[in-house]
Amino acid sequence: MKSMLEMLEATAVRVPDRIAFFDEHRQMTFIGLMERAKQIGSCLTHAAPPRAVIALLLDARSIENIPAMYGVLYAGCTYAPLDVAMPPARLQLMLETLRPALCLTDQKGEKALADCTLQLRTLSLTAAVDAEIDEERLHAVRMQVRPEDPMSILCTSGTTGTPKGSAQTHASYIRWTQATIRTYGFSEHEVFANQSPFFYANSILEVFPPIALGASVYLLPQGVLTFPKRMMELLNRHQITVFCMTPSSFTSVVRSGVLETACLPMLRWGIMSGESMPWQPLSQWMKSTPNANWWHFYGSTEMFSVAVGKVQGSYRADDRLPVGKPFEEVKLLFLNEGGTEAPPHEPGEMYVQSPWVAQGYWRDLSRTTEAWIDDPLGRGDGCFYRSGDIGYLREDGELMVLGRKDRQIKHMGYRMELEELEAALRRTPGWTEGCVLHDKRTDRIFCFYTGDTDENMIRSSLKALLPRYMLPDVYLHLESMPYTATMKLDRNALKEMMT
Amino acid sequence: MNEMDRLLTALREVKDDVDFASETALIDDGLIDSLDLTQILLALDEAFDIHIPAGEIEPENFNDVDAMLALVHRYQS
Repeated sequence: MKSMLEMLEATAVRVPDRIAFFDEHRQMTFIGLMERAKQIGSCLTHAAPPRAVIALLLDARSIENIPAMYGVLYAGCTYAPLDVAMPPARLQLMLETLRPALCLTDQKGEKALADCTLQLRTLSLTAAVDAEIDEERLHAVRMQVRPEDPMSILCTSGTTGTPKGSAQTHASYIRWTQATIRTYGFSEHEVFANQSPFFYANSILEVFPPIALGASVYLLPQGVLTFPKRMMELLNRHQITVFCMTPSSFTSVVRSGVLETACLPMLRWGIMSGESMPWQPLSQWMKSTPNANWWHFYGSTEMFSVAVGKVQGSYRADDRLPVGKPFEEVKLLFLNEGGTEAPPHEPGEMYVQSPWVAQGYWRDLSRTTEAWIDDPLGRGDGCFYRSGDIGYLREDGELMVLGRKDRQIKHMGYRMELEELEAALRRTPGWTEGCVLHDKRTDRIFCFYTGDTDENMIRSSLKALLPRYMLPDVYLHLESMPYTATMKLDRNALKEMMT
Repeated sequence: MNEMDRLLTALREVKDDVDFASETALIDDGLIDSLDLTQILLALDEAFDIHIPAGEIEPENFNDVDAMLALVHRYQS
């Protein structure tokens, strides 16, 4: 297989009239999806050369994201989905990193771009879907696509304040999709629910395996997590069998009090993405879903999935749950501070090699060489991605993930770098000195600051630079910042103030 | 200040760039997101002394200010 298009095409031939994607207003069959993608692709071949980057600036919940992504692939290009709700300043940083040949937009995308000062070429999706399919041109482009061409660039928080674009190839997606279907054991009869926006790597589980299988995907409405009662009704009404969210989202549903015993009888796969979920809320979900197995997977935007496993047995409330076993395609190294291999079953920083780890950060050689390390142990192992996560393999082969080596955090289920928040604080008018810390226990971000400014001034300035979930939850004004005897910022003293 | 003014004042404090008085699809159009809504619930609690459990929230009750005021009345009685 050379391109991810082949999986869509095989399904469109096998079950053309089956519903591929649907929401409250619309549905799209597999043949409909393929034809729409070919129309968009035909139009794009006139606007951008093969292997160009095309930014997608579309309504995050629109079903049109899927034919748009595949349309870019039909044009032999790389798609980069962006969040149209991003503050213009940060959207601009992402566009400067990507330097797209073209932006494919809808009304929301147009609006988001209106506040950017960059000169960018745009193409309206409405115009693209009106194009005639030009099979000859599509074929000519297809001949040039190689499995090692980048298929997508997904943006993620960076420590310097400039987001990073993780680039994955067609080959990455092909191997990951095959391994995912095999490991979970999904069939073509599943109905997936999608909650994660397409600009997050979490969404790939609800796009590519279903298309390969010929299974249907229901797109939950905008902001559904805010209405957990409605969400449960919708999951039941559409007979969802596969549902994936971050542990923090699953936990927030438990807290809202809407879970009842056996309230989701149709669910067969409950999947907790990215990190390990605490046992107490998980056991509540298990009671609500008598026919489901619950699965963890560990991964990130750069790594896709690394380990996956069904939760078995029961735990105590404060036990740390394993995140599953590494995929058989994955090679893991655990390294000590000194760069040597940690003893078996002892914690170390995880270095990951797999057929689907990203190739690097788009147009960012220096941050790529920091994170992609060739042969870290000097024994001819090849290139590994340095995850920044600390973990170890248990004797039974289950992977335990303990935390981060750096200041990257998961806040409300979103991955972010505290340094990116601090970089934005330094750009706040009136800012003199300060820092941010994350209280993991309550998942709150504290901002400590000094000088002649206040919470409202800081907050309104940050809002223009960062997405909402990155803003501090608590602001504390100090007369001066605490320092240790060696004149380093005394983070422990600050931690004591986090109550 | 009448109830509607109190509501509008509370909403403007949460988010000052939305025309709450005239919008009719605040949720459906994505003008307020889940973070805003959490703050709106706190603001309603403060302004009207009502507590609405998170699990009871339906999107229809937050699409426009009339619906929000109706919700406030239901929880006041």
